[in-house]
Amino acid sequence: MVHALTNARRALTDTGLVVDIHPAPDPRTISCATREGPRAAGIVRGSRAKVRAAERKLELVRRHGMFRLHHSEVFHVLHYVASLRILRTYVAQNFPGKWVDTATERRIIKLLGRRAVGTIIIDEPVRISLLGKASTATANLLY
Amino acid sequence: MRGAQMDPEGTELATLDRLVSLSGKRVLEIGCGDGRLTSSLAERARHVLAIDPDRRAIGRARRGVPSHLKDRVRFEVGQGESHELPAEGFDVALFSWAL
Repeated sequence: MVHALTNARRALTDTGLVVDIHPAPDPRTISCATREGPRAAGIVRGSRAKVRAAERKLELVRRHGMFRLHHSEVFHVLHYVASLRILRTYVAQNFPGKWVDTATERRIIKLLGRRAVGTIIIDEPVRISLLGKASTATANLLY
Repeated sequence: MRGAQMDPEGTELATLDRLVSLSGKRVLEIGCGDGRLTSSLAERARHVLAIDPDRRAIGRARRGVPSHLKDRVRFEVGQGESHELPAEGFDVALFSWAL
């Protein structure tokens, strides 16, 4: 996808901007809504290799002078699911290669009861980066 | 998916709005998937070209665009790496979960 950034660069005006949004390397946490408020249950397990690869691609295009980083920050996207059963399916469908481990499932059952029906929240840290197109003179060296 | 909701608070779009004005801009959305963000981008921008390699996802995305925005969005099946794009045709290129 570095090539996608190269392709996008060609398609941008000289003052054009790339906005990249992808999950941050920090883990996605899982909590349950209880009468006492949200209670931590665990994290979504799985490799963060894809996230680290995305961060490397951004670093690479910056180092090669294609784009300049204007701004970067992490915000939190919340996902709500209505039961442990739905959580398993949701994680499998939306976070490829990720899963909910047994300890987290046990904790959810402890917090929500044996049927594990109730509000379960996944807190996903997401990075947004704004990159401006660097000068053509520098970036042409790459093509 | 029934029984599940992603970002009902709209934090992702609120963050985007806080950082970038899309008003009057030509936007390229790479990896649009089933158009989760596309209509919201079209509400704000002059025009959106949304591309994704998944033909079925593009079909779902196309069906999800409200009629009042249809002339502001074009969907194309394609890879971000190789899709033919007009030179200097866009003000903003958005990669959402697509790198």
